[in-house]
Amino acid sequence: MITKSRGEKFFDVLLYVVLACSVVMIFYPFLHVLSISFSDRGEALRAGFHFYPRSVSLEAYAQILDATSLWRAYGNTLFRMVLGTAAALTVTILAAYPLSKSYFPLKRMFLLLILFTMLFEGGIIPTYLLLKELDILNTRGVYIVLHMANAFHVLVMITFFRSIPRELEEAARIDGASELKTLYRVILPLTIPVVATIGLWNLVAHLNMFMDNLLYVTDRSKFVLQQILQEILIEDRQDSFADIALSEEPPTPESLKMASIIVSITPMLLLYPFMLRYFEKGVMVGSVKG
Amino acid sequence: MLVLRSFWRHKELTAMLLVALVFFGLFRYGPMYGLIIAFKNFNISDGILGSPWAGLEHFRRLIADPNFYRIFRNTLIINLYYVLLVFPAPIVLAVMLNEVRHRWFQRLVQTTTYLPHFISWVIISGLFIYFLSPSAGVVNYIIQWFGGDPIFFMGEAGYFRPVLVVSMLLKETGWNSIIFFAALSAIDPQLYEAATVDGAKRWQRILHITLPSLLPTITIMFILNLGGFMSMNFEQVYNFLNPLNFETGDVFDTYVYRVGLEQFQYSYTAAIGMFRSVIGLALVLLANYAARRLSGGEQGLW
Repeated sequence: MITKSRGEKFFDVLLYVVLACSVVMIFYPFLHVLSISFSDRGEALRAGFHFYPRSVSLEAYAQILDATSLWRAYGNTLFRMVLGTAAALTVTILAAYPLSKSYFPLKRMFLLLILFTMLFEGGIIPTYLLLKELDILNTRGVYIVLHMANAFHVLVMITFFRSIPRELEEAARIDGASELKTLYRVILPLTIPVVATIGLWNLVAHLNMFMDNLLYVTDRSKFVLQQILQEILIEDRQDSFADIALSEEPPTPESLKMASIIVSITPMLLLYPFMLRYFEKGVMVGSVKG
Repeated sequence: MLVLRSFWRHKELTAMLLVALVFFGLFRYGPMYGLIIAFKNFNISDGILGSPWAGLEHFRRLIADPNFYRIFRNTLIINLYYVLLVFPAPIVLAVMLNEVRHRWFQRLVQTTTYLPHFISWVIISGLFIYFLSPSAGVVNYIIQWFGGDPIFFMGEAGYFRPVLVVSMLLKETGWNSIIFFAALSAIDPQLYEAATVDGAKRWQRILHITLPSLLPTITIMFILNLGGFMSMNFEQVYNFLNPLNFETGDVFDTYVYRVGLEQFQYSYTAAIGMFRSVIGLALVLLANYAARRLSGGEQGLW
């Protein structure tokens, strides 16, 4: 048994203290947000630390329940999460499968064509004008179509398809299955981990994306959750909460803000355990050269 | 002809690829085509093709525009801060995590520090603004507790870049440490055992085993980071930006959004965007070339 020197012990203590501090730095804001969201007027306005609400009020959540524009935005976000992810996964698989075949003609050229979109982009204004010419500006379709073609996801998918033994596919082909049927029946079931990883990347991106709404959608009924949150949190506007005036004990803007945060991060927190499992793997997959 | 026949033989695969390429063509190459308005005087009624040519007029205007230098300077300075302060943080975290002997504590730190990566910039920025508020913010509460005067962080241009750096550190350090941590777990434990037997102290083991093992990963990540020197996270900057800190915080995309979409100067801001994209492309190519040279052709983005 090697006894630790005084210096080593000091190092150990320092290590654990610094890491514990970083945990607290991230954990405390959550506690604070949760506490303020359940606080009554006086408590929410009190300066200082908030670990738990000293006097509880559910008024902020009552207001949120009635905030129709927030819930409509929630609906729009769920819409883009589901449809956007399904559409992006489809395009990713359709692009990656043919390009993963060594015998596919001109595959290197096609791959370069796709990879180039990672390096160069038209930018905000040309994208705006394109959506305008396609006449889909200011529709929910914007949220879907702009994220369907993702070169990086295609790259990760190709890497994965290539790792599947050829014999499996050949067996299916000899049995007379078409390419599409082989992909659907034989190959896809094997790629569930990578489909889950890329799917979760898409889900999180769609849940948190705010830029495409700000730039290309101005119709309030089509706003996504992050856009409404931006109004509430950053622009400090409470137009989403129409009933404040009717309330006997109106909650403070702070409680409303914090309650909106809690309501909007709940789906992410529910997905988090799954995300941890697949994302950590995904980062490693992504680092494999295509 | 041979190629065509080959496509025909794999017609199902060809059809799949074509469907996908339609989307890449339309939504990735489409905007690139739209960049020609940077060389035109675009107006909505004439459309992209019908608008009259303007040659390099917009690029000449850009060179004479003080706002252009401001956004260019801000982009470079903020990115420099990121390279110096944000880039090393995940390496330090990974090395520290590697020294932790209690598995549960390691997991706890990882699970907590990864979390902010999944929270939107709107919420992260909103929380920063709230916690930094001069009236009720916890940060100013602490400053006052120590006898200082409250600071209006979001109202003073000088605090914009530090706030950006700290928010980026809090949001992404944990997540970015994954790749370094994975590289560390590949180190042969016998190296550490041998060093311990030879009497190496803890910091000596870190200095002579851990860090050298990380060096290839660090080099590649560093070079790839330099390739992104012209880009900025729009959602992060936009949510912290207000007229009081334009001077230190306005960057390419936020300027293009404000002047282009809100003041309808399409052609001029398309020229600014194009300038950014072209320099950005050159940097990525250069970074990739450097990564390949340094690793003897082993590594690179492609």
